[in-house]
Amino acid sequence: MDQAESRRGGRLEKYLVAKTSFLKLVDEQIKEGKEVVAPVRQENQANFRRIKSTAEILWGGPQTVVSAKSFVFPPKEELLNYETNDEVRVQPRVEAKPLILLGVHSCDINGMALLDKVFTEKNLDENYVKKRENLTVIGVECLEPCSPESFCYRKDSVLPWDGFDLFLTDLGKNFFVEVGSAKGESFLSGLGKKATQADVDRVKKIRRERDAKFDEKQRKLKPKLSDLPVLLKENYNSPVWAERGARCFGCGSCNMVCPTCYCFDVRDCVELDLKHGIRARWWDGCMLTDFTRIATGEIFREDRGARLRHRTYRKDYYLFEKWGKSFCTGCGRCGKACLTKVVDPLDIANEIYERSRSR
Amino acid sequence: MAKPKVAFFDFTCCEGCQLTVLSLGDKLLDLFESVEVVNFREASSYKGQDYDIAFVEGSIASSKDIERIKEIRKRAKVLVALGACAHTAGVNAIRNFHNQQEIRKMVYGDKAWVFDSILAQPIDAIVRVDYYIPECPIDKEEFLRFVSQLLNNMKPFLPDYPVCVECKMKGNVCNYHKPNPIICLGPVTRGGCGAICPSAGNACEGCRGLIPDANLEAMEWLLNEYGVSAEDKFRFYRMYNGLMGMKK
Repeated sequence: MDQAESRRGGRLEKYLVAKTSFLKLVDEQIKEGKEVVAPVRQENQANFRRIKSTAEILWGGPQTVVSAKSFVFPPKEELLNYETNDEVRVQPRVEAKPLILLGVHSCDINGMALLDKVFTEKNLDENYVKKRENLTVIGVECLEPCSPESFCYRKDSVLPWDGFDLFLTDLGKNFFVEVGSAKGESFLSGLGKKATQADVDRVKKIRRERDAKFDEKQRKLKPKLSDLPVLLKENYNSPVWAERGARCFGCGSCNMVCPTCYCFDVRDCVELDLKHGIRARWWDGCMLTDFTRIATGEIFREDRGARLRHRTYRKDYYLFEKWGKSFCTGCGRCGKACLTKVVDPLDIANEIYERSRSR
Repeated sequence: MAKPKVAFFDFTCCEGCQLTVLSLGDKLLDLFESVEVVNFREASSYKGQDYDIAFVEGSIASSKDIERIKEIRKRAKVLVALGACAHTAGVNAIRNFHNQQEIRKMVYGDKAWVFDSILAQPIDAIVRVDYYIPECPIDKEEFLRFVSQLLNNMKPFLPDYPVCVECKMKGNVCNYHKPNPIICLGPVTRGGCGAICPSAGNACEGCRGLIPDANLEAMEWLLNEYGVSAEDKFRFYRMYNGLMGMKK
């Protein structure tokens, strides 16, 4: 959180708001027709769904099956439509409507903060930006590990370092609310009172206890986080890749559920009249054969172990070096989704670390 | 440009794929606008023998079928296998794993000698197939997309990714992660169906055939992990993939 403050060049406003009044505020917004999406129970897991009342929200449950990225970068997104009659007409399509995303965990907020870099800093992606601008992100602090798979504490991602409008910490009757943007401030509509030093100290204490708890309960990352790029770089030829690759389906589930995987495929869909069509993009993933095949049919990364290495390198080496942050926020979704237990980035880093030490 | 002439043919199958085409509604009229259908048993009694594109559903299951499919191949410029029976031999191939005498007797009784039934085979066991539209039955949207792309000289899109991709896109809880896990062939089965069965709470039974590089060793590990017996594994694969239908 201190990082978020320094990024904005100043302190974040902090408030103490009664939970009941905060939830009432959200429920009123829903009644006014605002679209609010939050984690809700789905079978034995959780997922983001549009809610009709804040009573539906699953607070502190397991991580949602799919990350919050799907609201800024949906699985399928139309980019343009075209008509080829006497003259060719191309109409770009940027769809975005206001959306309040409530109850987002830090791993997903940070995931979006990373996507913000990717989709805005070098190549401005109009579709992403418009959706992002229309989004109000209200995060919630995790005070217990959400699942056995998560390892956010090891990835410096237990708190958001950017990318939220409001961030809530549960203090029993009240929410400790940190404001991340002017949008967040105006959403709050003057609710609650400014947090006192005592409130801030109380939250600091809660966070210290939480850190100790996460440190004890979450699986350990044996190498230092900042050493990951070099560790991976030096272990390009590690047998780990082939061993894990042998049991990898190449199913792309890890890519789909990841809060930071942002690759997509662009395809044209033409109507039967052959005069109308759309161009759309779909989520794609580096673990999939389709992804590594080029137009003439060659497959660049035929071997599943090589794909697994590439995915791991993207998260903790290439993009880590490029953007100064690991592109894995430790949400644990990929480790959960992987049915043959090969993809978990923490497991991979630990295994490589152990084996490189014993050489 | 003259409209391409299109014919539909059925071999051993339920003709559900032709019915799927017939149930396109308004889009069917669009289809008839863009192509000339000369042979379509489920829709018309007219039987033209001059065609450019042949859509063939059903498996090869009798010696007569072999001659007939060869004749179709000779006449068609483009031959498309329509649906699981044509693509992987589908459920018809279940018979291949039984004693042929017994199974003939079970089906035809004392008239078995009248029928020259043989082991069920996919169309491409006999003739060259240009394109496949998998699934049991075919997906309407995929069929329409295929025709549009073919007519537009585009390479028809057939995903090589497994069912898991679309299942995750839909945000489904994985069949293997439910309180009562459902054994599912999603990780090795070709996607494109929108994960229709898992989304409805059912297992993927593999009706779209296996992906080209399906990791069957990983599948074996997974099925063992979930305590699936060898007999059940065979049954599961044999539903649609007894012949290990993998098409590049």
